[in-house]
Amino acid sequence: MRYRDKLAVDDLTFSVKPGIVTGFLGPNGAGKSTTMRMILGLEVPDRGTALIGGTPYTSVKTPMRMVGALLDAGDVHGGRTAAAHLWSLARSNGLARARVAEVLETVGLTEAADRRIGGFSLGMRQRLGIAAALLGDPGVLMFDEPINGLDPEGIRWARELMRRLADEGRTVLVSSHLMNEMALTADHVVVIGRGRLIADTTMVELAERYQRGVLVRATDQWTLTEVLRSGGATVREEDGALSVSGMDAGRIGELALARGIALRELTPRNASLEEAFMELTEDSVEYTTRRAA
Amino acid sequence: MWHVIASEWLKFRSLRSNLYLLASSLISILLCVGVAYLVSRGFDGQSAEDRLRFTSLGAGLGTGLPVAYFIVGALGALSITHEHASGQIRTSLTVVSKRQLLLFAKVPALALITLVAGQILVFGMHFATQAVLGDRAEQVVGGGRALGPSLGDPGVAAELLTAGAIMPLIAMVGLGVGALIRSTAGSLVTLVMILLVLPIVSGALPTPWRSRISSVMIESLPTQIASGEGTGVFALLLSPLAAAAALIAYPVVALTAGAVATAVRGRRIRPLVVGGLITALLATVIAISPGAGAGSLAWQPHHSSVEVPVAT
Repeated sequence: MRYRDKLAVDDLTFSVKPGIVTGFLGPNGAGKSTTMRMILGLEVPDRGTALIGGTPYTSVKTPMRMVGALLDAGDVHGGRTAAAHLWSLARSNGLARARVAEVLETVGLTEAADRRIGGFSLGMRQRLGIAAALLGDPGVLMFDEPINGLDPEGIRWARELMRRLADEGRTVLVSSHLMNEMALTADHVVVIGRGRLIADTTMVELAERYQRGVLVRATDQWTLTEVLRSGGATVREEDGALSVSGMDAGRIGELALARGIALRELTPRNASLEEAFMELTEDSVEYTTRRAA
Repeated sequence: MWHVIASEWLKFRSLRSNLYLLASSLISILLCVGVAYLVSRGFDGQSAEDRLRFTSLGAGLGTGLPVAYFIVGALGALSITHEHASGQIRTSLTVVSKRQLLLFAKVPALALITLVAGQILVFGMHFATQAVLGDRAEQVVGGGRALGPSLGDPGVAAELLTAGAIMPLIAMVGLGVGALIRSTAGSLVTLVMILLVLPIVSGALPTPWRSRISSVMIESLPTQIASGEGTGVFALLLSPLAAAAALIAYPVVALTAGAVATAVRGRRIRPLVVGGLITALLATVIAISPGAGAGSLAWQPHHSSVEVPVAT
């Protein structure tokens, strides 16, 4: 997918599974929104396809029953009331009017149903957009940066809602540029940078991949170093403690016990997901620069 | 499809700005009142002989009609440019992914509303003019017509009904222009050009072209359809059938342009071909339909003697 000369999304392939929340991550301008728009048929890729349950989105007769999407909470006419907006959307897909009140209740906007959207805060608009996505009770949900503008209580609510939707067996794809937020919400992550796929993995794997050894403090660090090295680990001194890699915390504890060395600290260290994310996307930048040269 | 049409009806109804715009179309009636008032004052000040030189106000639509057309066209244009301006279009296209369907589903609601509003407006303009003219309406002026022919007079009811029935077509022109241009301001300027400026420009052209071009301007078509008779610069060139074809060609061309612009790239050929064929068909009708007596038009004596009265 190109915009004039700018390559926005390039040769990107991934699939999203039901029953879990999939985080869709990438820095600003990575192509997350463009990818979502292509899935919804708002953009046409130069080649390749985006299929939902095996069919292209645009060939579905009542798409709201299959996919609920929130792309940009601002994509609404401010002159309509929340209820009128939702009812006009529901009507276009032949959905029952009762759904309007139901989804308003779900997102906590019942009180604001008859107010004009123009007067809504960004957080309220996000809730309204989520409500619109839920109207058709779809099996697939896509949210583009849904927590933007939500207050802490709203963020927690959105997180719980997404987990609940996934637990109900739905497919949930949530984009974000905030890794830490995704760490709390998503089970699986798809990371892209400059329109290319960087990682498509589970949260757990991602955390493991960025493990940075074990920090050990002991009464007799000199002996312990010898013991661990002979056990095959790499040991480095760090601020009066030992940084051990190539051996897990359990094994270190066992070896220390066998030699009667008391441990004062034993901490497996993970890079924060934020750092992992930075590292991942940094690579993508390097990659494209090399390619251009 | 019915669902989408019903949805568009809801969308139209739920915007207060549409109601305001509809209400503002009442200005066209006020304009007719104003003109009728000025004519009445001028009329009263003239001798019986001079009064014969007044031009009939016809069905009483004159000044108000172009304004009503413009507002109705704006209503059509706004129904789509509003969506582009607010970003609502992306939400709309997500829930109705067939783009042509989304565009054409706006037609029924717009047509119904503008048809009803149009008839109310033209009859409002007529009766308002009649009311202001009062007794003077029956006085015979230039060309042997009454100053303000009443509803019962030949051709008047037909002209009113036609002028009102044209409103939905103008709204479709607005919708097509709006879908093509996407910006509200740009669409409104284009509508002003089509509905108000072009007729004036065409009236200033040298002779054969003046009446040829003028006769296909929107504002001159209702009379040619209703009575088979043109007045003033809109001298009769088209038969009622050809005039009707010309009138339908306007929304067809505008909606074709709008549909092509709306389509996803790579899918633009079909609307272009379909719209192009219909336009070609209409053009053929206009071309082969017997030019309704080009010989008789300029020599209708009552038209050649018309002078514009100046109120003093």
